[in-house]
Amino acid sequence: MRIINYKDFLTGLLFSGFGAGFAVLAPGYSLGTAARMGAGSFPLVLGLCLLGVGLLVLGRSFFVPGEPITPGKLRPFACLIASILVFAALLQPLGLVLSIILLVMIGGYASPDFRTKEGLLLAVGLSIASALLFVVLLGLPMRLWPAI
Amino acid sequence: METLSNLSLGFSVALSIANLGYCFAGVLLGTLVGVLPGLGPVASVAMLLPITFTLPPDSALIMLAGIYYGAQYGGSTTAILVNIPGESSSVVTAIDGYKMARAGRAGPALGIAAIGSFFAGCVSTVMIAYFAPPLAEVALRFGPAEYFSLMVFGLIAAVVLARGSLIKAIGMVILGLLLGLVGTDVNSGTARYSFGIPELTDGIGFIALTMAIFGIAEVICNLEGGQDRDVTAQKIGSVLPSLKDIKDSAGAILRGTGLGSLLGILPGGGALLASFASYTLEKKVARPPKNFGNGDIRGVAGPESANNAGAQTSFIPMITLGIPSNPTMALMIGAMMIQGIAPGPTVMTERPGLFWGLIASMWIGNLMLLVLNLPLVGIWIKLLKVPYRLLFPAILVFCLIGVYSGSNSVFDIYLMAALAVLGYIFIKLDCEPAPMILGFILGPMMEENLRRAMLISRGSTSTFFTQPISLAFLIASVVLLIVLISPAIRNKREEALQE
Repeated sequence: MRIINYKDFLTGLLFSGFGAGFAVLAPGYSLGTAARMGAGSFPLVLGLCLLGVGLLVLGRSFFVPGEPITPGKLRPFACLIASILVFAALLQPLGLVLSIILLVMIGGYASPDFRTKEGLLLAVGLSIASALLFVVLLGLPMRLWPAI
Repeated sequence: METLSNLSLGFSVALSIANLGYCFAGVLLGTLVGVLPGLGPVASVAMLLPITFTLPPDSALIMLAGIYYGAQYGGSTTAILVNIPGESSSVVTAIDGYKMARAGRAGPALGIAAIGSFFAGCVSTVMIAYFAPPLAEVALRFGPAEYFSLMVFGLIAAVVLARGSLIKAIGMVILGLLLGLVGTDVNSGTARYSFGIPELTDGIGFIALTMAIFGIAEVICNLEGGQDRDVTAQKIGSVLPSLKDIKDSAGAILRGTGLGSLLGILPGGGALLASFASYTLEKKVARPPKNFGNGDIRGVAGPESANNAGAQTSFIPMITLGIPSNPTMALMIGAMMIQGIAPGPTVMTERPGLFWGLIASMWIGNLMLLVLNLPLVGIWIKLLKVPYRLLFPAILVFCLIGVYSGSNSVFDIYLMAALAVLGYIFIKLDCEPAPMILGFILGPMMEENLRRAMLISRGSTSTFFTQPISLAFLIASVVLLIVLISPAIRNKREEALQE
């Protein structure tokens, strides 16, 4: 037996993993009775269904061929996720204006065409524009500058 | 008569200076974002959602609806000009539209798309005005058992339209339902799947989920692919179609409108199914047929009218039943909940101004689109040339501010990062995320109705099979599933959704 469809194989693993996870935790939230269903019963049923679907897809990956997974690239993925995490960590201490500049300067490198000078201009522009639009104009409650 | 007085109430709401302004802003922003590469209507609506948080509910919905058709139209523009459909519903438009553009007839193609969409918008607005009230009245008599079965039917119908593998789509729906259940259970107050994180007791943020999947994960994939767009090739020419063009496409527009309006109402329907069905129909009735696929104006006029009609009538199940038929409608329902409105048949009776105002604004929005797009085509083309390296940072900023402002909590940003990773994996594995979003919205509602139905029936599941309406929905669901699994239909479906 060989895996001939890695997309299906991983999808199956993912589905059955999520399904099993939801199902295993469900009884802990009380199952109740048929007339008074507890918080755990619907997730339990759904979890088991997802587990079933997952196993089906998993089984299929041994028999039905499919296209190979297109390999991903590390750079866009890493830069974007890193920039989001940095933004999340610094938004409250640094305020919106500086956080956005950092966000763009880190996230921008996700693209190989990103140029530092142009990017800095873009970052400042986006920062000012969103501060004006969201905080000044729309009045969303966000700190603009670092708290001293 | 009642319809007229309702519509006049609607127009009095929609025509207020403020709402006209929001409608205009929505249509303009929607088109702008829709034209930009790599952003479909769902992402556009999700990204622009935070702008509407501070507005009153009717203005917020009017603006979001405007963004939706704007983005839809923007997607068609890119389909015609650069052969990159903004959303799956304009995939068929690209076939003949891009050929027309290559032949120097981009102008008339854009023109007929706008005119067809406008006509379809007028007809479907009237349809909504006539069909929504009786449907809402029927829905008011629905008990929990009927609702539960209707949702089952709606979700199965949604699976039909997902691209790619059927079983994966079913898995995604179930996963969505489960993710929707995370958070405090309303009946018992138990915090489910929150792992002791206080922020998770409120559930997974809807905005965080949609932005992560349709925004961030999409951007990562676009950056991997390398965005090649060839916009330099064409001259647009006059956007006004000639008399002959209009005569040629009149039939297609009429058929597309009819087909689209009907298909849009179906749960799981909407713009996508409508445009595919219309293209197939036009191809069948066209005389001579050989022009199809080589820049036939009917291949633009029909699907464009159909997808606009379908996009609009898909508001009917959303607003009368509270059941989204596509991810955009799921977003609209999310927006209503954020505004503190419980979607469902009571919206029409309890907030007639909101309901009819939204409907009237659809027609106004369509008129604005027509007036806006024909003269502004030049600007949209310039936008198409904005390089992606400048664009995606802006998308990033908007997504993050949107997520943060939805909850004012940094936790949602971390959550979004995690969900974006998940979304990226889904894209890599060819798992279409749209069914998951529908499941996510319907999860809590489904559970609520299931529990209530079981309580009323004292724990007997027969309640779903003995009540005629509920039984009908369940039979319809089973029939749909059987039809789907049958090999002949399956091949057809794959063929139709492939293109």
